[in-house]
Amino acid sequence: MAFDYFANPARFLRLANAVLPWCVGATVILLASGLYLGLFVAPADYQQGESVRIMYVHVPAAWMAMFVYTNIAIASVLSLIWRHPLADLAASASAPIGAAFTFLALVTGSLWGKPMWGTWWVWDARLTSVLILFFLYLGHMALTHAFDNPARGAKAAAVLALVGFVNVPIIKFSVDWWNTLHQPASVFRAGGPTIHPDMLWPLIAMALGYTLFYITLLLLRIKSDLIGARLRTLDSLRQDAA
Amino acid sequence: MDAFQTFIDMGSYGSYVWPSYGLTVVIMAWLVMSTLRRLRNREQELARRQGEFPARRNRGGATDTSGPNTSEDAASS
Repeated sequence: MAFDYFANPARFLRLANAVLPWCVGATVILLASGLYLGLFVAPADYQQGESVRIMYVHVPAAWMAMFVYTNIAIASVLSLIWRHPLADLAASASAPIGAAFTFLALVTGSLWGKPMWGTWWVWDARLTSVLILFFLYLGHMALTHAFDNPARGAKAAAVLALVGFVNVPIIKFSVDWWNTLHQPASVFRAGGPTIHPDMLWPLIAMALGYTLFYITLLLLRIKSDLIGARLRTLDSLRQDAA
Repeated sequence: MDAFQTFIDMGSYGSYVWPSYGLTVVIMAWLVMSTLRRLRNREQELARRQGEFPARRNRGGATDTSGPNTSEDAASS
């Protein structure tokens, strides 16, 4: 299985170094074309006017908030059950990136809500569950570093990630289950997207750009964590030798 | 109003649209810089340590911890 194959850190580093230039290139191209399409090509909305352009930075950030958390939950399963050696690194490297995207989703949503809803914030199911997601990320980051033994921190954070995963479907379906100011899904919905292609394409370009941005940073962060582990080993070797 | 002014104005929503894009750029740039800074620091640290143990690079997968470490220490110091 590929999971086992890349459990070897040296093999993982070889693969990471080989794909990183492609990831960087694709991220730059996708984000540049997404920004161009979103700011210059896509039309204004017939109801929301030019404020709809906030969608191209807000919606992909919110998708990433849930996608990154889902990845952390998957990594947590791999770590707790199969003790995959890179799973803990993937989870701890993902958390700050996910937290940053959740923060962006909340703030850009607020900046969109003020002109469209007349309020910066409302305590409804969608906004509140995303705020809880943000706190789950912060809790995960705090737990990871709360123990002297990194393995215990990783285990505690993995348990939190799995318990908190119940929040992800709540976020997704909150707009259908409860009354809210937030509009329902217009892309990932049964029956296909209802959004016009002129607005869908910039959104797709930005979403893929955000995803590759995340993958690039994830690989770089795992790489520096592997070096960190190597440094700790050198420290203990030196202590043994002394 | 010229085209540039119209673009910046964003149909009077400019004060909401531009902070959204600006904050996104700032946060993503911060993520990139903090990630690269940490990677560079650790790479430099590793290079420095490997300088202290010059024989280690050529030692292959040897797991013997009794002799080589102390002799390397003695050799490098």
